[in-house]
Amino acid sequence: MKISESWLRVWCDFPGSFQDWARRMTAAGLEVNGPQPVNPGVSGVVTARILETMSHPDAERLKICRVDCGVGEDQQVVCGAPNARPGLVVALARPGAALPDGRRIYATSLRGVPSAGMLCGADELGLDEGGDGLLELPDNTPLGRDLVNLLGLDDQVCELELTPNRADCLSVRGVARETRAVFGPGACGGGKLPGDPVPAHIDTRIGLEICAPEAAPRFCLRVIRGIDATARSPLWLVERLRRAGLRAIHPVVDATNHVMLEYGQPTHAYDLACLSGGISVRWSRPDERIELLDGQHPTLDDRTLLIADEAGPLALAGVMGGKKSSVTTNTCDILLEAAFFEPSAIAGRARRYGLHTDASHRFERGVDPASVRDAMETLTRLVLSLCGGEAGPTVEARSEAYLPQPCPVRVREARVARVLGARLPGPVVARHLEATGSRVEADGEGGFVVLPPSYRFDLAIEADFIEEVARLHGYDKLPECTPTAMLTMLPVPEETRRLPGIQQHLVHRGYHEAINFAFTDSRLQKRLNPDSEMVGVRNPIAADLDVMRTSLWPGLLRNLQTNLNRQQRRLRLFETGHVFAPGEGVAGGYREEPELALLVAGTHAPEQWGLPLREVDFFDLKADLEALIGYPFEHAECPLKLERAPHPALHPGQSARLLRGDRVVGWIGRLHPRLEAEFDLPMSALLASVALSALVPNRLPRFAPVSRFPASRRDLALLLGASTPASRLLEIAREVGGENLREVKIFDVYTGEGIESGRKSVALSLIFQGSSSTLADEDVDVAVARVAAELSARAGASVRG
Amino acid sequence: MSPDPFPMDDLEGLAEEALSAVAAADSLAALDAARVHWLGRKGLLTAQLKALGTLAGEEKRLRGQAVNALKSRLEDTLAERGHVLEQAALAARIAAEEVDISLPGRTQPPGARHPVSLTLERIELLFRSLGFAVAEGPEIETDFHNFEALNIPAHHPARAMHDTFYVDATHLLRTHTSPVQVRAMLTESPPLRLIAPGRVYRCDYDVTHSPMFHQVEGLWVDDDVTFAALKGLLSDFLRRFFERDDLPVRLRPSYFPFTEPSAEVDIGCVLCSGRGCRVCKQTGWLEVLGCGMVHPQVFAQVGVDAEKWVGCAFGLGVERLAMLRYEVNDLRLFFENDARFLAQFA
Repeated sequence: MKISESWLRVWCDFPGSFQDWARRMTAAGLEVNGPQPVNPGVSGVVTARILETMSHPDAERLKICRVDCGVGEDQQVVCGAPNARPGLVVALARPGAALPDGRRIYATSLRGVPSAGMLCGADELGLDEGGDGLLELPDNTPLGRDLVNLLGLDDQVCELELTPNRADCLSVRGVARETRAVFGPGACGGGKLPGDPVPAHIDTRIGLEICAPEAAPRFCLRVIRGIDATARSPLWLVERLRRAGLRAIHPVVDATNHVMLEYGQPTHAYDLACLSGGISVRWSRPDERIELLDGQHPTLDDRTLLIADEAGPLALAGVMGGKKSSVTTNTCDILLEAAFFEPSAIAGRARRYGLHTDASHRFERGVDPASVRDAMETLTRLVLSLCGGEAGPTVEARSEAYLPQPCPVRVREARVARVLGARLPGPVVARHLEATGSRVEADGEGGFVVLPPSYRFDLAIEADFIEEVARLHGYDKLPECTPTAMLTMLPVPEETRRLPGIQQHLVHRGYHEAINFAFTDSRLQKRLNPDSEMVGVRNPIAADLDVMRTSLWPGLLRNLQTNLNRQQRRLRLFETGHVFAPGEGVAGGYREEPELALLVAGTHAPEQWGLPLREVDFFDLKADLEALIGYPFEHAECPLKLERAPHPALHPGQSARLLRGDRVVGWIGRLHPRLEAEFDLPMSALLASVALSALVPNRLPRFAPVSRFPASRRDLALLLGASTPASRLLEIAREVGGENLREVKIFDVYTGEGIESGRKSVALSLIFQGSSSTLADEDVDVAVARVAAELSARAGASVRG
Repeated sequence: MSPDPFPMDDLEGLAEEALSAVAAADSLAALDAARVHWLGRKGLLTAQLKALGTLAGEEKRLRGQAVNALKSRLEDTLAERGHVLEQAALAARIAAEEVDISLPGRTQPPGARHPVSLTLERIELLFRSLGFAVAEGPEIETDFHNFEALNIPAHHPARAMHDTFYVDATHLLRTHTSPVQVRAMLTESPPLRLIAPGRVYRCDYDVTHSPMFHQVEGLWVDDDVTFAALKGLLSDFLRRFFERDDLPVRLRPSYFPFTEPSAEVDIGCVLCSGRGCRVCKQTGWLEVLGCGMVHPQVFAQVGVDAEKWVGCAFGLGVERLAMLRYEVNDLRLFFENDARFLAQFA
């Protein structure tokens, strides 16, 4: 909400500058931005009347105007505006004048005709955006007046960013009230009281039926007949509205807006001639329709509060009026409405129909039910003064049972002290409580009984008042202390790995950490895994962020594309984050699991002088995973197993899944060549993913004695079928190698020349070591022979020469 | 008459010959050959020693002394020469093995943690040092945990402050990590001290808003938690986080449905030291987190006795702190994952 200094000072003349006011209000919880000057940078502009216009001899579009500036001789000004006409009062920028766009005005000549300045449009004066004509000032405007002075532009505006609990400050009156609370009751002058009621001149009444008293416990109507359809809002009103961010539309509408801004009470005006029969306030019926002021035609549900006549809905109560009964320049008789709507009856309705209005904003948060009548009287007075006419009596329907009744609340000094950690003296607590407009009485038991005012919807329990005490005392004046608590040590589980450790490990192996959005493109995800079931986002922020990710790969592949586009041709990325899936039967109906994913592409190392380069391959990524796990996959102790298996996103010949027990916990492989092409990648990429839950359990190291006896190494060169997995050889060797076999390694794999096709040569090294003595050669020979025999029998591997 | 087998001048000639041969040896191999030639089992000097057995008396003694002296001299010379040659060989090897130490090390350069991840860990470390446990929760949350239990019923105007992504009528992407405190209080009894770091989602996407970002929520429930202690806790945290003991910290009243009193916490701008700059919009202050005392309604929802226990809670935006800490000037950089950006945090 915007508020101008001049309007606020009418209601509350606070000491000090507006800047200082802004600072103090912010410190008290009303966030104020500004102030900004109201004058957009106008000087040297005066009011003047066009006396006559002549066409320019050399320019069809230009007119030569003779203008009266009130003092001195008439001036001649050349002007191109279509609405320049004799008799019009306009704003004349005289030589030396400055305009908001930085222009300075000089006496000049336009196509040979001298011009003593420039006639200005509202946009040129920074007062309005639209319009290409001259600013038209009222006929009775004194001539020769400085425009800044006339419009009171030596003013400032602040923007209030009000929190939803402070509906009471959505008006000049409310901000004035709050200013007095913050500055102290005696510090401010000024003030304004609602005037006397406007007596009825005529006796026109409109029938009123409240069918939903629980939603509209207070409702007032009043007829005004015979308004001047040609009346225009005066400059002061136009300027007040403009400073609050509203545009003048029609004097009656402007009056309702003025009352709303001043009192916080939204009101509405109907064209009486467009109504049929009496007014009812009722809930909507399903599929009822209404054409709103903004041209929308929403179809209503059955929980929307309506103002209706016999013909149907006239307005969405507390949100927006309808088009049919709106006030126009032909309107002669009007019906005014001021009401209190229960916040819960309005809350959410505007949003449901895609609306947000100044009225709904206020009603949703709570409008003072006690101000309805004041607002109606003020509105009547203002409409009569702007447009004339004769007012009828105010018709009011009131359902006491449904009006909010402020309840007394007990506020204990001891509780204030316990929550704030500050022992404030009783009189100080009482003073702050009273400053909220509440009635405060000591209860004689170290506390107070407090009755909040009708406009404070946020004061209902003790904690609400403790907050008020803290706020009005000043957070900066409340003490601060070092926190104290019982010392309890946090558990440090050694058999669990913490995520930062995993991340740091990968960083040491050359990976950058990526963070991508958890929503991704459903089409992209389908391309990577056509069978994946996805969780859709109902209201995605972009079409390509429409589903929750089922894998971290789409994000990493996008990152690869981005980096390639930016000439980064070598990439090593990891990401950790949740992946999501619909989960029938899972608590909550959704499954989500933290996962780690890796992507590598480009050369295995950056280009450098001492290392021949090659493209990364499956075994580089496999090694990175093994280093992370702490074991080679083929190691007996490795908690994860690797198993050849196809994945739709992976190269069929270079794809494997990771198992922990029977559970599939991840995948590793090379991006499918088809996807390489689809992603337009100039190289291949390798991908891996592992459920973090599979990485987190960590073995607690347990000591085993280190042998002090020499080890013997024996090598076996084997020939076997090309498709037999090498890991099979290791398994067999470990199984039958005996207790002294410490280590089996594959140190060479060869296919090609000298090896018949369909076969491969694999070289194994076996390391034997005794734990209590040096092994005899014969014993080692026996073990090696046994390994060789078993390899031959079970893996079809023959020992070469 | 046979010639005298032991002419002394002969011995002199032998000595001269042996010593010059040793001196001429230009490699350790040549030196070793010379040693074998003279002192080996069949060496010339060894033969002289063997021949002593044929002499007797004074002659044997004199001759023995002369030959042994020569042997000893020869051995010394060999050792000396050997040492010289070894030194030369070492020097030659060293010279041959010299490298240009200015050449880059052979490397797989390390990667880097994401700045948001670094910041998260830093926040965790600081709070863990005060005994705050780290709690986690789901990112797809129920309306109950995200809103209802936090005193934000349907149609509450505060819901407008959380532009929410929905996955179905009752499930949403959590708009804050506060639901984790709800889950913690539903499963554990006070006293509680925890932080809940994680990803959160809001339907807002522009230069200063990301639809996904990170938050750390903190909750401390005990019987003597006060607003004064909350002020102390957060001031301490912010000063440690930015490593500035004199960092100005101020609390401003604000509104969150789940805390009361509520406050926004501002720090003196860390980029301009409060003088006023573009980042602090010339105010000298930066809003960095929100906090307050747990609302009695929240306690009621999770079955904690609000008379017995007092709680405080706070929530901070990780990207915001990361941007200030590392002077990152554009929020969008965090989610592009440009390797050149990421590498800066190594």
